[in-house]
Amino acid sequence: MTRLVDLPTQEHMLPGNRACAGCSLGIGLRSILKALDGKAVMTVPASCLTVIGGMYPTSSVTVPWLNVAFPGCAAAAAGLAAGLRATGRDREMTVLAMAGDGGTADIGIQALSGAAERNDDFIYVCYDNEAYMNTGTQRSGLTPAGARTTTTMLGKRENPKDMCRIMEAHGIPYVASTSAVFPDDVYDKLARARTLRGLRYVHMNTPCPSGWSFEPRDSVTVGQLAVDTGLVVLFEVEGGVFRLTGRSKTLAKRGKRPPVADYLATQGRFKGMSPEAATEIQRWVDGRWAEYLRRDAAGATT
Amino acid sequence: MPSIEARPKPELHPEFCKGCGRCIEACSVHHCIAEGRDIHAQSGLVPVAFHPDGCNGCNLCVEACPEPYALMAGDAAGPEEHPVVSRHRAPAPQTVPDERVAFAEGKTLVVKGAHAAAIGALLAGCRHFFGYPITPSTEGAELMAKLLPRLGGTFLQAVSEVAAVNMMYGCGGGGKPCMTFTSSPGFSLMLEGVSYLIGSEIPGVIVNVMRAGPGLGNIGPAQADIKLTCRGLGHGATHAVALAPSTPQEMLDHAMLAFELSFKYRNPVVILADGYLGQMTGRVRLPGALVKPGLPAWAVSGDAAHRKNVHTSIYLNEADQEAHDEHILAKYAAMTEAEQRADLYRCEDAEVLLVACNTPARMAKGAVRALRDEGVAAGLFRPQTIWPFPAKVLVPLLPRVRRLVVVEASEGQLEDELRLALSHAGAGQAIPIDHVRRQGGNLPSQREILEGVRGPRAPRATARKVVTA
Repeated sequence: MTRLVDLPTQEHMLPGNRACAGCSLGIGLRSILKALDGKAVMTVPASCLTVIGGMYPTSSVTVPWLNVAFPGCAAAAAGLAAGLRATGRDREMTVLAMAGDGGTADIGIQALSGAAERNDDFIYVCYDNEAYMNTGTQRSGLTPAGARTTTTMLGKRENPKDMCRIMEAHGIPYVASTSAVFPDDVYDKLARARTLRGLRYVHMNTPCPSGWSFEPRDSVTVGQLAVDTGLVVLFEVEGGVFRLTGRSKTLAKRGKRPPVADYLATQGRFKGMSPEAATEIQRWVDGRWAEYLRRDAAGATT
Repeated sequence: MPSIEARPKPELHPEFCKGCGRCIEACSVHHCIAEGRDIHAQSGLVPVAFHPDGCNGCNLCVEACPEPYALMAGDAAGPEEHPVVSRHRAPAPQTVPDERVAFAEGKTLVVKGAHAAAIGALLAGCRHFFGYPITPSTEGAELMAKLLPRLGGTFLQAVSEVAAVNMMYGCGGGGKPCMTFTSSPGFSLMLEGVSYLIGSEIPGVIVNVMRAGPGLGNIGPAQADIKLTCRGLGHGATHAVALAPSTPQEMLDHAMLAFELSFKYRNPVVILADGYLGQMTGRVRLPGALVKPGLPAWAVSGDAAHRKNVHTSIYLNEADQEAHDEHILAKYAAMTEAEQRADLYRCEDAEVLLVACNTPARMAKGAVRALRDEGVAAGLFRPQTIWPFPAKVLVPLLPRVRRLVVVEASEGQLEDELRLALSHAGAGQAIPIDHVRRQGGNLPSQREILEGVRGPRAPRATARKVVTA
């Protein structure tokens, strides 16, 4: 595992980008582009990332960038991968499709599912800030239960989709879950994905100060607490073999996690949530965590 | 106790039999059913041949038959006896009329344009909202998300605009008023669904808060979807009444009117607003009555009375499709006849007639005042329906008009509608048409309009130079 101090110092994301103060997507994008050594072409649909990328004709990343329609991120990436193959550049360049949770789990899922079924050759990163943040915080299919958004005033009732399991069910070569606030974990997973061919899916939890309602300085601590409590789990599935990574692996060894309530208390979006609802989320997290531990143990024996 | 021989023998209805032969396999006697040879005149298929002589009434063939009513137990009721199918027994669907309930007239609110449209929809009886977030239309959806659950309604955030418009298809097909808020790229994505709404004659109201395009464009105000709404509502011969409000008050009034027209013609209605109008706060006077919607007889509401209601836009027989298209075209003709609306400002003696709608009409109004102060006989013709274009209101003004100036936030989409309408009306062909246009999320200013009216404009310094190195 790469240590933080050993991450490359060469940046591929520039100052003057339009990320909000404290946005963890900046950390994530920097790590991703470092892992790809700046040799990538991106497809990005309407999302916070489009805004961060900058207003035409300027760009805040040093890699070429294809701005696509909202439903078409994975489809455009499939076309781009075919184009690069035709020009013989597919070995050196990685196609990086990057969309938010709405662009992935809601409007973009059919294009992504089609690309996964064909095993098109690109890396898809879903940066999951758990709502439509670019339009002002509306719920998405990945918004957690209990979270208030402008379209779920009393808190969302449904648990989020499990995108990683959906993508695993397609039988693609690589599926990983990571968090933008762990640059080493993001780096390792993208570096690993870069060596593989076919569709590689990385799900990146991305704490959002304005949408989740916490102080910009707390992005990293909130993101770390999400992992510590088990709401976000760092893992990878390569060739069907599951293994926990990074902080989640350490937690599994330690065998103890702080309660989810600690995490919920850090954010305004969960304010006013009933204790029963919080207990229900704890139960949901515990159930998933037990399943991850079981799969990790099974992966270790294979 | 009845013997096996005494059981009633099954009956074959060859007009319903498709000749699959499952009954031949199933027959316990093995010689009463055989493969048929003759094509049935009614079905065009080859039904099995049934010889009841050897039949012991075991009815295994009836169990095996995949077709309803092809092979029937001798004592079973035929399709004509079906309680819902029977013409004599099924109750006819009745239209439950809308009710108008008196309301506190004269009350005023100070609200955003998008909120005014949402309030208008609620007053028109809309309790179902299906939408997808897109700037600058989301405020309307957010208000609906707040209010509808308290009013016993449904707010549903779809996974895409495609899903949202098809949810409207479902709800509207059920005979209930429903709506969505969207903005230009989202509206583009909805167009297939809009074509289906029109083809299947299903009402629904779409508020399109227009922003600049093409592609992702930006989120500034524009009138870039006039062409799309008037000339390109999906495939086929599609049209819908397009309302163009210009104030928060009209956002409310047009929302109420939109539901009325939508059900009157069984056709979607599009409200074209622009990004400024959605955000603009203004005084809004509430109407004297609100609508408690009934249920039209054509709704697919699930009971026996509505069972014959089928909403579809597919007619495989070309003659049927043509007849359906003619029916829809007749509705367009009726809309064109009855629904042309325009607002006139100082047009009675106008020689220079400005044509503008939405927010640009507000600047144009200011320009008319300034021109009048200078002694120019100017007036403002403001279409409130862009489709149908209010030519019937415009043409009587033309004999006095020496010049038309179209003011708009698009590359000429409103002017195209004007020119087309004048051409169809065979009027005003000699009147020169000038224009004042801005694009890209900009609106024409009063100064620019005045410059445009007074004389040929000096070319505006181009915006930031695009570096393509």
